[in-house]
Amino acid sequence: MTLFINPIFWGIAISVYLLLLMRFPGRLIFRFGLFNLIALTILLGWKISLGALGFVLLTWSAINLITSLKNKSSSASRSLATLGFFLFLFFLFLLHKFNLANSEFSAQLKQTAPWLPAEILLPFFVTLSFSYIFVRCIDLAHSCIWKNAPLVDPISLMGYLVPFHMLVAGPVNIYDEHMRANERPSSAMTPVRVLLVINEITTGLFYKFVLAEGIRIYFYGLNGNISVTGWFDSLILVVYVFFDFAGYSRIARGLGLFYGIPTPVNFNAPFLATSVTDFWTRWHMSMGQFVRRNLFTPIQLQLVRRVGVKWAATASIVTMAISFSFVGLWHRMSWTWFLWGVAMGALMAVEKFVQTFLITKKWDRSGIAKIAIDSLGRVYVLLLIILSAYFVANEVFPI
Amino acid sequence: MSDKLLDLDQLNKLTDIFRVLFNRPDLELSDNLSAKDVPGWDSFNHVNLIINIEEEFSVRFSNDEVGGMQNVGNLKALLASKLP
Repeated sequence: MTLFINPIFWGIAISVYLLLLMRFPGRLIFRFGLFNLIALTILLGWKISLGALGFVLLTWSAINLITSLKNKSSSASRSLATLGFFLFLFFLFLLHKFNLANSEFSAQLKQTAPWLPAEILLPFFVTLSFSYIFVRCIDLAHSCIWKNAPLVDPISLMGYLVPFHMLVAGPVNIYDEHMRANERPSSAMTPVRVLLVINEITTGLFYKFVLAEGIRIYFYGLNGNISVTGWFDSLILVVYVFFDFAGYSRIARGLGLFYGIPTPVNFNAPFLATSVTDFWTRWHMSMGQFVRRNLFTPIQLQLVRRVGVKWAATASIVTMAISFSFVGLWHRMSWTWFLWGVAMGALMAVEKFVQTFLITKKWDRSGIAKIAIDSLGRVYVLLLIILSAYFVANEVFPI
Repeated sequence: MSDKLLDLDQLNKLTDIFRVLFNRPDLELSDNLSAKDVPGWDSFNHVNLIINIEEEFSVRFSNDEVGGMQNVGNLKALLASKLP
């Protein structure tokens, strides 16, 4: 987050906008991709930019190969190439996670595989949030391989996969929406857009540097870190993470609006959620939508088609557990996060039964019953999120 | 997607599926009706709704069609395009 108090970052952010205003040849996403590459190089150095560009070129080549095999070869060779691409992607994801978890990993990797350009690869994986690049790659593959969306050139793809304004913590932008940026009229500023941009960026900065950091400094001191030893710490952690993450997301969205590059809304008053299911449609929304699009709906459809509607409820427990265990492992490769995901999935499946019961009894309609249920629901969600934060912050089941 | 429309019988069958699944005997299917307007129409029940429609009308939707439906109008148009 120190990125946002770096004057160079803001100088670059404004320069990118001014460059986008100029009538350079090429479509908006190409010009953004090009200026984004320059911005990354200035901000993070040539090694990281080169690592990122190399990764984007590899991804582009792989998707290009898979889509070109569609018309020329048998479906077996295309399936094999698709599987190879996903294995490669998963291998890089594991590399990223192990590198984050183990400070000795870099030295160990150099010993095990001296031929690997670790100087280029590792800074790229550490500095950039590869977890987000990983999910964007899945969305890209989904769109191009299964939905026949056109694959853009590598420079434009760089702007989608590694956008400099979404470097630290996403959000998860959608490939199809990124492509649609070209269809929009000019990127000239209207008064309404100026106000929206200013509102998003200033609110984001206020969330992060006044509220999140203010809370941390008040309770843990100027240089203190939040250490979760009790339930109150857990509450502070939840509030801190909200203002930190939502603040960052709003700054990224403001910059996206500034450039005309789609950057999704990531939070919608999550503490007003009346169930955990509702909470996950309001917190880190872009990730929730990614999971629904790429995991939950396809798996649930296949499962229910196989077992029949009669077993839909059982199928949904399995699907939710699979989908949320992915989310857990995406956060961190540990038993704690895996079990956190399974528990969240199971809990949401249970909530489904409760919701069906309330609808049957008509208690979900307006009236005192609804007010009472919603109020209790908000307390239940807050308590559960505090409990889950305690659980994961302490790595209850370390590897 | 084609410009075909559902006939009255098909529309009644579709309405019945919604009414039973969401336990709303008085529900009317306007084109603008979407998940936010119907309590219980979440991602769980969206899949159940689709499977019910697939079984009733003997059609099949793709994953992307299922994920891309914004409202009842979309669903009706997509269903009509799949019926003979």
